[in-house]
Amino acid sequence: MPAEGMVHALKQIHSLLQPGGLLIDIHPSGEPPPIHVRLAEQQICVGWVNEESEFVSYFQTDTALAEAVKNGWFRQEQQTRFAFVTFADTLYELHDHLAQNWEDMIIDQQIMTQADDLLRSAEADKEVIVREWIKMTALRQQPIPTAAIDSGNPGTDGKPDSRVDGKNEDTIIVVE
Amino acid sequence: MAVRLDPEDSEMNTLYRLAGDLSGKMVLEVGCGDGRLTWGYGHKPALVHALDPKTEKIAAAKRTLPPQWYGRVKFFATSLEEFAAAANQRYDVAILSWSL
Repeated sequence: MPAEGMVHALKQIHSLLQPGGLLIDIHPSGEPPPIHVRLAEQQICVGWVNEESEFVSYFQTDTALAEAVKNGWFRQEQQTRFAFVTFADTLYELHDHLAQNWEDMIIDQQIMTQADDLLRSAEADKEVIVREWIKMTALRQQPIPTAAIDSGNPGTDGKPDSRVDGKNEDTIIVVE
Repeated sequence: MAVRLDPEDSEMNTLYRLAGDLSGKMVLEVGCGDGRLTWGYGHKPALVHALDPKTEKIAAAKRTLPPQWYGRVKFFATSLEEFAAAANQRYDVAILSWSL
């Protein structure tokens, strides 16, 4: 989703929430997730999952959330990170799973080969592991000040908000 | 397929830590996919509306929806744009699930 689309989506979420409602955003941090092969007690990093877009969209998400806060639609309450870990018995199971759920995911053939060689080197007690760092943010919906409604739908700079498309105008007024 | 996702429930634990108790709440989940996250918290809210534009993912979610959740948890194959245009209610909590 382009950055403008993300801001627009956040505006729509604002209008769908009860006054003072809570928005929870969950998205990857944008750090390439490492791939490890575990052989008994030993974990060997064989490379990283990559994306065609090189994780740019996740940084755009951060920017869109910051803009929504700057626009006064939300107040950030908390942000934290957690590791979302995926375990698979074989590399091909992992690859199939990621391909189904992560559209522009890339695992280089060299990484595939190295991981496969390592997995073949042990009879049992082995698996492949991907560890993604995920950001979770809690944002509280902010009320639209009555004065802003009365003054004719100003934008962040006090001028009319040219991004307003006429729909749900009463809930997407931007003030600072 | 022997793939295990987040076996320590880090995502769900973090969700509860940030969102608090979802019991009795009206929840909107955007980008629910096949319901992977929904299954983790769906037993608590009074109402869950989960949407995703991918029809095959929503079809999979509907197939695995527990019968005791019928009527309380609903999946919609639609975009946020279309859903917002037709929505006639507001929610206590919105979850953007890896979807922005």
